Parts: sequence; structure tokens; C-alpha cells
Amino acid sequence: MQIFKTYFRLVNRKKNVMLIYILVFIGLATAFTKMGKENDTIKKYTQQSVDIAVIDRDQSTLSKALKKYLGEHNKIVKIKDEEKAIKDELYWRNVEYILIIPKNFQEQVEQNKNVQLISKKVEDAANATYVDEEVTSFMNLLQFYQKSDYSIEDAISHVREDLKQEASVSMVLKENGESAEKEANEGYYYFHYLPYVLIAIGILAVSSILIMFYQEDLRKRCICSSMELKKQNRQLILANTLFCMGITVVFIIIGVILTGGELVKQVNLWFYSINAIIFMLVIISLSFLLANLMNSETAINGCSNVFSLGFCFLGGIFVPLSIMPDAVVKAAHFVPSYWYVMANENVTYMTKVTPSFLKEFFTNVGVEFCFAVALLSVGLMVSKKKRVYR
Amino acid sequence: MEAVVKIENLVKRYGDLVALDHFNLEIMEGEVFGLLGPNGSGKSTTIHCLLSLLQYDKGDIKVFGEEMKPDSYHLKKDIGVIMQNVAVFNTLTVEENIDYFCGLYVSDKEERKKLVEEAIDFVELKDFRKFYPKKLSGGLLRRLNIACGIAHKPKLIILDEPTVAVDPQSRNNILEGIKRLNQEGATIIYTTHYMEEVEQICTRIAIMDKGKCIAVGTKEELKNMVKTGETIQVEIPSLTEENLKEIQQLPHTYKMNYENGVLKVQYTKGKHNLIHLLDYFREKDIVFGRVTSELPTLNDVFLEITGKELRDRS
Amino acid sequence: MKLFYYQLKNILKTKETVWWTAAFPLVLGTLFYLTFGTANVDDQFSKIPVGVVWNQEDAYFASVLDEVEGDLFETTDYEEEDAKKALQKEKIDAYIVVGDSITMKTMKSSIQASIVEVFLNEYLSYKSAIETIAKEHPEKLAELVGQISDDSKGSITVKDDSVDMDDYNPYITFFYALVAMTCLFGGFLSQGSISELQADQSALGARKNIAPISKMKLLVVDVLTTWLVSFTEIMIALFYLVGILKLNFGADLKYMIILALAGSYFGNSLGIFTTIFVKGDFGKKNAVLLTISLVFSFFGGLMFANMIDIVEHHIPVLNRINPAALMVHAFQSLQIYGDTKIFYRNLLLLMIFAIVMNIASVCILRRKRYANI
Repeated sequence: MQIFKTYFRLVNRKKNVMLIYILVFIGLATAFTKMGKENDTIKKYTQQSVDIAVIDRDQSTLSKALKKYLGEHNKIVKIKDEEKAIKDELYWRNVEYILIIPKNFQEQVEQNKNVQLISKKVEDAANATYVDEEVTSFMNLLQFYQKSDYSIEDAISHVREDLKQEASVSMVLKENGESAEKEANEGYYYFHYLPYVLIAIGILAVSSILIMFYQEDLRKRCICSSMELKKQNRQLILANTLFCMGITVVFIIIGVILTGGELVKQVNLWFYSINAIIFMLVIISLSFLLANLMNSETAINGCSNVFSLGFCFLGGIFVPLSIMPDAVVKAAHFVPSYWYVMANENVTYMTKVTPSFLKEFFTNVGVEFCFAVALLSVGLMVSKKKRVYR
Repeated sequence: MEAVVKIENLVKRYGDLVALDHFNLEIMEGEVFGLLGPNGSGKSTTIHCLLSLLQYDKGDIKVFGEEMKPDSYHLKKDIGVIMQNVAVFNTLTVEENIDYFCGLYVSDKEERKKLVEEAIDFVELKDFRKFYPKKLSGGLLRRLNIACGIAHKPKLIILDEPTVAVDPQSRNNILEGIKRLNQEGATIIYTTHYMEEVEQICTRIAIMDKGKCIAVGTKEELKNMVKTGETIQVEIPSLTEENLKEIQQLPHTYKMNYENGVLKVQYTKGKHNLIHLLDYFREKDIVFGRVTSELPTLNDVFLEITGKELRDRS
Repeated sequence: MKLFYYQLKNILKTKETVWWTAAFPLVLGTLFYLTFGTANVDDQFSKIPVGVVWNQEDAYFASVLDEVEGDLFETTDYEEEDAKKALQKEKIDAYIVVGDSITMKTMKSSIQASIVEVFLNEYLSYKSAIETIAKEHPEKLAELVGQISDDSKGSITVKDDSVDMDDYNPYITFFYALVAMTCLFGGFLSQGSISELQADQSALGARKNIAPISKMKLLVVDVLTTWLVSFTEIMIALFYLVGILKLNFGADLKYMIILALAGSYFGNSLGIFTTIFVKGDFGKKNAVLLTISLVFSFFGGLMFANMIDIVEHHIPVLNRINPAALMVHAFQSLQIYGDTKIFYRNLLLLMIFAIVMNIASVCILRRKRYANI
């Protein structure tokens, strides 16, 4: 077990660097978790109130009524009526929507003229578009009344009544009797973003050790020795695996701590962990392959970056799969992180362990495992080929 | 006696460049075999092919009587390698490094411990066992390099230019060490371009040039190949043309040169050239100063053989 | 000047570093492009598959549905049981039950379900308004219907005067952050070359330190050459993203060049500073640079597009000192607000930070007398 022992000696010597990586990535994982949760809550369409500003240049009954109505569903922020202020407030996202009611608004409405309200929004806030809807609904209804000779005041009160109409919505459960609405807990987010951290740290840590074994002359010496290549590789891979599993366990524990220990009580934790561990196996195989292919530490760093970001974007971790074109989603199937995400979703929405859950979960995890085996085989092949130079 | 290493018809090409051209070599047990040649002659290439590190195009390589292949682990067990570049872990101490490499051959812990100790003693690095390679000077590093290669007491030891950039003390230590290893029963293959070292320790020598073995034999055999048997230099303040002509007539003289008051005469074989020359001076009452007589060195052999080749080619 | 030339060759020879710092933005940029480069705001609102269960006839509702058929919704009629199954199999996002009242059933409160809900609420309010008018002023109803169809008079519209939305890709900030990260990673190049300058890092460094040439001169040459190389790499990346992938960065060539110059200079200085400031072997320095760049990039929005937003609301000062955020902001201000003031201000800040680091680096270098070589 010479190589195995030496591997960990080297880890020990490099522990400062390892520690830097681990601490920084723990920090990132924590940040990801918080961000992920916040982002998801933003995604719900209507229930969110938007920070808006209403610039009322008319100050009429109608304009005030409109403003009041909007204020009931959203938060109204006061801003100055200046072009620069308007630009700035939007830019710095103090408001996401600004409505400008022009002068003589009410007058023009009463006279049946074409009137235009101006809205400005922050570019990618879906909620802000909804405010446009609110304004249009209000004004359209108002017009009904106004054109039917109601007074503005009457019209306003009727409109408010009409707008109280709501269709009743009821929720349907999934086929298996579970709710599709299950709120994802923090554990979900932590484990959802975990692959990024695992890939980055896995490749960095492992490769930086392996690369010491693969320095040209040192490697030649090892090849010349009487220890079978198979045995050498076996020890290296075993050491790698142990090291990385250790790191994975550390991150799982961190995950539990972050979610306030609640996750421990749930059986979901086991499945999250299995998913993470199998995924790490994939990374171990990948970094073994990379260390055999690359020659310098900088190249490895580059790889770590490209793979961690690449796999995580393509697999739908940082960006939802729903916005990707179909062809790309198909390509994503060839990336282990995609399967990790699928398995993770399985676990999150599971309330009790059923055979169907197990089947789905282990299918996804199984594919990940296949990736690990495939990459490892390629790595071993490359290592054997590199035994003899040309 | 069985040949420890037998290389037959080894051919290695890099594209158009022929690095090894039907190279033949045979090394017997117990020899300290020197592989000599200029840079680019194919020494390292030969070594790499011998160790199955390098793919070769044609040829047979046998070690300990069996074919040498990348997975001939039972053969590799008795081979020790010391490469040109120092190949050690920078983040491990001297002791840990030797332990590691020994461990690739010897799995028994007790035995290995003993071997590591012996190796450290052998290269005299006892005072440096806890040092990191970065802190060692060139010579000490080389010693470490050697310790890593011989710790498992191999029967065949291959050293590829082990004394490059080494201080005289370390160099001496290394050469003495090799002699000792040989006395303990190891066969040594030693590549270098330092002639003095080869003269010092090698029993048989092969001279390589452009992928071919151009001369092989013991020191004496090689020196015999060369025309020059002896070179005599005498400090003489003045000599006449006639003197020079007569000196030229002396037996075994084949080259002569008189410049700046120094007479240099090169002789072919013959054991009494100096006496003949000195007799001549006494006869003619020629005053002379210092006298030196040199036997041909391998350097001369080398220059002459390869020089000859070049001349022939042109 | 010959020094310059040799050093340049030297850097380009460390193929691996150059290769990776140049290739990685191209590789990631392509990946980004494939996954969301062609996304558009409109994409968020593609047709929603909705089921309808007619327990009662309702001509009004049917006609309203017809209006939006093909645009907002894609409706399919079902029996209640089948609708439920279709919903569970996610063939439809929701289904509407038309009976005495109109209700809606869905599985989860997604954007799509919410849109259906909004649609229904609006329908109901319109219906209520018409019913009220029919009750109180029936005579006006006919007129009203006529007037409604007449769009030319008395229409009230909301004009969206926001940024020119045509070409806008909501995921463009990822690309900005990628460019920022490329600038920061340029530091790897300078790390390599500065290591060679330090006596305790390499034999080459020791030799250079003894040479009678002024250390400043060597340093300047180092800085200039690495700056040149990383600047070129960033320009290549920008050219690829804007020229070949045709992303809309909303910035002219002039601005991109300025940003590339400032960004690469900063990355350069960061690399030098970390090399000199961090004690330890080269691997450790690499690690520090990598992690710092990653953290900066993260807070600049590399993984979450709205990161800068959130930071702005909680710790705005972070956005002023995070180089990645400064660069992304600079891009954004050009793209969205055509405002060069913020652009220049941010880049100026960037340069100031860089120069501060340079001064610190020089001070430390100057005073170096090696305790241990």
C-alpha cells in the first residue's frame, strides 16, 4: 500500500491549499443555497407584490383611484419626477415598475380621447409585466362604465367591485397522491447546487495530488518498477476515492448544519447523500482521466473551472432546463449533472418511500454510476497507453 | 556466462530521423559497462528502449535471458534505474522518498525499513534524512536520486548521466558507490560523456555515434584501436630543421609538431620511445627542459574514431 | 526593447497557461450560448396548454376563449376525469371547469397556472361589469358593444417605454460575468511570469535578481507583456461572443476595447499582487488567485444573474469594490441606459485598485532581501 500511504502523506503536506479550497467552497455552497431559495420564491407569478412608483402628473380623482388600486397589490415607493431619478431608480432596482400618468388624464378619458399611459420596467422582472395587466384591466373596465355614461366616481366604485371577482382555484394531487406543490426546503437547494462545488474541488484537489505522481521522470521511474501498473492504479484510485468521499461527507455534514439540523430527521437525507456520493464517484473518475491527460497544474485548474461551470450550466443547475432549446436538453442527457438533478428532484418531492420513487431514483443514480465506470475505464486505458512512449 | 542484457538489431525512428540504426549490444554479468557517445548519439534512446519505456520499430531486447516487455514485472524487480533528471517528490523528505521508491519493489515493511537505512548510509545522506529536496544542493540531490534507484538491491543498475552538475566530492562518492555496488554483485550500465569517469570505473565500453555502435571493448582494446600509442612533449629552447628531420626518423614516430619552444611527438606502438628520444638529445647535445609522456586517453580514442568517420564521409 | 520581445516569447511558450486562459471563455461562451444565448423575453410567454371541461354551455366564455386560442392558450376539451389525468401527466398546465361558476384546477402554482388564473379573473370582472351595466343602464349596452369594437376612439393604452426590448436577452449578464472572469483569470499569466522574477521562487528569478539591470525595468517588461497577452485573449473572446455568436452587448468596439484594457490590466495586477503577497509554493498562489477570482465572479453574477441586484440591496459597498461587479455594471450601463458616465466611473475605480496593488507589489519587491533561498 505504498502508493496509498504516500498519497495521503502528500495530501498532508498540501493541507494548507486544500483547506483554502474547502473553506472557500463551503462559503460558496452556503451562498448558493440562500440565493437559490430566494430566486425560486421570486419565480411565482402573481402572488408577489412589486415595488412600483406612480408618477401622477394629473392628480385627479381617477388618477388617484388608479394609484390607490395599484397600491393595494403592490408596494408604492416615492420617487422624484425627474428623468434622471427615474432612470436611476430603475437601474438600481429600487423600483421595478414606474407608471407615468400624464396631465389631463381624467379629462381626456371623459372626452373619449385616446390616452396613453407610460410604463417603464426593469428588463427581466416578470412580475413587473403583470402590473401592466393590472393597469389595463382597471382602465378597460372603467371605460365600460364611462362610455355607458356613468360618472367617474360611480365608475370607480363599480370597477373596484368588479375587480374583486376571482375564479376559485383548487389544487389537484399527483397520481401517487402526493402534492406537486411541496415546498422545497433548504436542503433541496443545498444539494441542488452541490455538484458545482464537488466538481470544482474534486478536480482541483485530486488532480493536484495526482499530478505529482505523474511528473514525467517520476512517472517513468514508477513504470520501470516491478509493481504492476494495475496495482499502482488501483492504489491511486482507492486513495482518490477515500479522499473525495471524505470531502463529500464533510459537505453533507455542512449541508445538515446549514439546514438547521432538520434534515437529519428525514429519510430524504439518506437519498440526498447517496446521490451526492455516486456523483462524486463520477468526479473521481473524471479527475483521474484528466490527470493522466494533462501535464501541468494550471491546465488542471482550467479544466476544473470549465467542467464545473460547464456541467452545471448544461445540466440545468444554474439555469433551468425549461429555457433551453430542445436540442440542448437532449445533449444535456450526456452530462452526469443532468441525472444528478433528476435524482435530486425525485428526493425533494418524495414524502414517503414508495417502490415507484425507488425505481425512478435509482434509475437516475444508476446512469450517474455508468458515467463513473465509463470514465474510469477510459482513464485506465490512457494510463496503460502512456506507459510506453512513442 | 549468460548475457545480462542482449540487444539485437534495435531500430528506432522518429519520422525521418533514425535514432537507432540496427544497434547491437551485449552486456555480461558483473560488468561495469560504459555507454559513451556525443549528445544525440542514441544513448538515452537505447536506455529507454531497454526499459520498455519507448516503443521501438524493430529489434530484440532480452534481459536476464528473457524478452523484455512493459509487463515483464519479474524482470523489472531486479532492475534499478537512475535517470538523468532528478525524479523525486518535492513535498516528501529524503527518507520518505527512498521509502516510497523502495516500496514499489519491496512490499515487506521490515525488509524495506532495513533497505532504506542501508541506502541512506550508502549515499551518505544520514545527516539529511529529514530534508526536503528543495533544500539540497545538486550533488546531494543526485545522491538521493541514486538512493531511490538502488534501495531494493537490484542485480542490474542503469544510470543515465548521473553526475551532471555535481560537486567533486559527490562525484567521487557516486563513483566509489558504483564500484562498491559492482563488487557486491551488480551489473552496471553507465552512460555519460565524461571520459574520465569511464576511465575510472568501467570494465567494458561501447562508443556510440548516430545510433550505431562504432567501437566496443575494454579500455585497452579501445586504445589499441587508435593509432596514437604515446604522446611525448619536451620543452626545448631551440631545434634546427635537421634535428626535426632526424627526430621524425625515430621509430614509431608518426606525427610531430614544434611550436613556441615545445616539441610534441606522437608515436604509434612502442614501449621505448622516450628513451630513444632522450638518447637522441644527448647525442646531439640538445638542451631540454620538462618532459611529459602521455598515454592515449579515451578522449583521443573517441576523437579519432569519430573524427575518422567524419573525414571518411566527407 | 529586446527584453520585451524575449519575454513575450517566453510567455507564449508556456503554452498551457496561455491556452487555457484563452480557450476557456470560448468554450464556456459557446456553452452559455447554446443553453440560453438565443433566449428572449418573449420566450417566457409561449402558448399554454389548457384543458376545458364544459359542464354547461357558456357562449360568452366560449367566444372569449376563441379570441385567445392560438395566442395565449392552446385549449383542448375534456371530460372531467380525463382532464384530471391529463393534468397529472403534465399534458396541460391547468384546466377550467365551466359550470355555474368558472373554476380552475391545477397541480402547482407555476407561472403558467397563474396566467390562467389572471385570465379567468379578468374575464369574471369584465363579465361582472357588463352585467352591472346591463342591469342599470341596459340601453347603453348596445352602444357600448359598438364602441368597444371601435378602437380608433377613446382607447386607453399603456405604452411600454422601457429599454428597447427587441434584442434583449435576459441572460446576457452571464456573458458579461464571463468576460469579467476572463479578465481576472488573466492573472494566471502574470503569476507565472512574476514567479520567474522572484529569487526564492526559481533559479531563473535568482539569476534575474543578480543581473545589473534594474528590477523596475524587468518588472515593467513583465507587466507589459502579460498585459498584452491577456488583452489579446479578451479581445478574441469578445470578438467571438459579439462577432461570431452575434450576442448583443450593446456596446461599440471602442468601449469594448477600453473595458478589455482596464479589465486585463486589473487581472494582471491582481496576479502580481497575489504572487508577491502570498507566501508559499506556486500551487498555493495559484489556489489563492483561483478562489479570489471565483468569489469575485460569483458576486458579479456568474452563476445567478440577479446577484448584483441582491448585493445592491443588502451590501451595496461590495458592488463598488468587486472588480467583476464593476465590469458587469459597466457593460450593463452601456447596454441598457446608454450611459457612459457609470461605465467610465467603474473602469476608473478598477484602474485605481489596480494601481494601488501595483504600488504595494513594488514596495514589497523592493524590500526583498531573501532570508532563505
